[in-house]
Amino acid sequence: MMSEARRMHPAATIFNFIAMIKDVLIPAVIGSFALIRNIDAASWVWVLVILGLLLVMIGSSFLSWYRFTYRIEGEELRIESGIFIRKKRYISKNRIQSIDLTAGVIHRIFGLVKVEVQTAGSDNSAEAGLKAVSRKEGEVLREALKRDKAEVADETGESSGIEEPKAIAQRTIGLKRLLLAATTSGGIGVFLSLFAVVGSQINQIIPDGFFMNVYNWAIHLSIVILLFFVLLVCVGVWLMAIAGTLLRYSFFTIRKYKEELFITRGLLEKKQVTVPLNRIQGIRIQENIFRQPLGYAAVYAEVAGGALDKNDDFSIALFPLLKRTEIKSFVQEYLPGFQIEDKWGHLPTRSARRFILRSIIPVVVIAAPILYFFPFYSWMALIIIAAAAVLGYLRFRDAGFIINEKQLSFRSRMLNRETIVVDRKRIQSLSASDHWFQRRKSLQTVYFSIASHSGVGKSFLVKDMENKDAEAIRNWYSFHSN
Amino acid sequence: MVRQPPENFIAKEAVKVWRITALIPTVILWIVLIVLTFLAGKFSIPVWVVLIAWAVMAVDTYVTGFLIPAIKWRRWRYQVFEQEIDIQHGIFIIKRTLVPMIRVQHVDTKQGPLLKRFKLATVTISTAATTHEIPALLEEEASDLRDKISQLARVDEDDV
Repeated sequence: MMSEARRMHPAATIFNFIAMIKDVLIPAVIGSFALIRNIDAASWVWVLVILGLLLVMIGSSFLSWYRFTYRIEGEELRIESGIFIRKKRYISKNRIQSIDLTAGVIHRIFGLVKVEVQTAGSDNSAEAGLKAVSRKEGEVLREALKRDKAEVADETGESSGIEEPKAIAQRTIGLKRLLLAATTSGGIGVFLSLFAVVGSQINQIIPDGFFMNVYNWAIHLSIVILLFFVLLVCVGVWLMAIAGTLLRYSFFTIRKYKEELFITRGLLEKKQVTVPLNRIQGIRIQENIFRQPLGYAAVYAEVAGGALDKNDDFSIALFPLLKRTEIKSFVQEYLPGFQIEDKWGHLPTRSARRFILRSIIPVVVIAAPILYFFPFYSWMALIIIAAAAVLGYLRFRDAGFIINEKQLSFRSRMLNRETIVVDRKRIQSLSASDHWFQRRKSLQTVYFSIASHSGVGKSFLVKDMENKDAEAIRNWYSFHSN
Repeated sequence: MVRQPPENFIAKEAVKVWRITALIPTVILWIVLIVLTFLAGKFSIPVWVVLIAWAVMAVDTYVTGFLIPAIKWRRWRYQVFEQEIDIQHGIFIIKRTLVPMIRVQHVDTKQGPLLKRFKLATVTISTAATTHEIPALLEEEASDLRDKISQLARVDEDDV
């Protein structure tokens, strides 16, 4: 099947060109900006230089499309590329972890998809990628590269090859749910940091006196107006977070097949992700501070190997927003290997003080000099310290664990409440630690690690557990019951 | 019931190795301090400052060069069972780790120039998520341990 070498859709030239602008032209222009300013040349020389550059770029974009071929031969996907230096990459079918099809805006104009093939333990970049092939071709490829040939062979009698097997279960996000997910997304933090980055760049463009003027103007405003501006910025950031979630999770659908989950999502950029069930190391339930009071949470899968979705910290969203009460049946239906339980083991009361101190101390350290120099604002510092204390108490109250026969659950909070559920045989190692202060109170911290991406694990911990609970978890994990 | 700490200690020579590693930067600081002491008169730095500097250096040398290596050695324990490895280490925070044999992906021994000088080697145990070390075992002990673990780790179970 498909043993002759093929090229991608010619539109791949456009993507090559865009990539080149992004990787070469923009950094080059920015880098040589200072230099160019000092060169005295007639404007037509510049036009010629720019035209020449463009021509070279278009030419090489075309050539790199022309010289890129792929084929499936034997049990391998074979890709050959490179204009002058030929690079051949052969990927064996049974090393392939997942095949993602993505369609961005330009892809959708031409009816194309991007194909990304991921293998276990690969680092950030997809192991092999086809920038643009027709949607049908992409689906044929995905079908051809799937590992379970046995199943395909069974059905050769009737199906024509590309027919999708029937999904066992399927769930799509409704409009109401999507809007709720968007308005309560924790993406605010991301946008705030984006603002900070943009802000630091703007420094170099804006004339020197500008900030001084703004500052002078600002300190003459009353605090009410300042607060109003802060509020305005917050609302702006929030609106952007909403837009971000809508772009990402519109039309979110999860389908369950016998051995894999299949997720499609996205408003402008369509993304399809296949997750083999036996690659899922654990389930993470995230209740962020906006959603928890409303009784909602997002459910993620922790997956080993491959850069499946960089934005999600190497977790894959299984559903962007579920009611807390729905999670149990959702997991039962889509991830029958896991059980969600609610008989949490809690921390002893004497741990509470440690949790509260831990969250107050850094705030006090930062606030102390401010208090000293601006005693007028001490009421604000007190409010912040009180908030930190409350957060510390919540961290204490929410921390917990459940051990059952073959599964361990941990729950903890930084700002959002996170629950992780893992199978005993997915835990790569388990540790318990204590230091002098903990020993004095018979408390221990328990950690476990699961496989994540490129050989680096993810670990989860619960601090200040009762000694005998920590010991119980160790005994549960140990083969050598003592 | 509270578990007993693992039975095996690492080689006693580990203390020497750690001491040497800790003392190299300390020796450089001592040289700097001595030079500065001679210069102190020239720049009219009061005597008490010099004395404090000497006291701090003396305490630092004792703590990093003698106290910490000794405590570290006493805490470092390991035990290899048929189905898992139990490791304990730490100076202020004592950490006990369990690594099941079926999770072990590979075992290595490694040896830097200093360890080689004392005929010691470090055993490194890697899983799909974590890496664990048993530092400074006698060369022969280390290679035996490596072989033993890789033998025991050859248990088949479903991947990752």
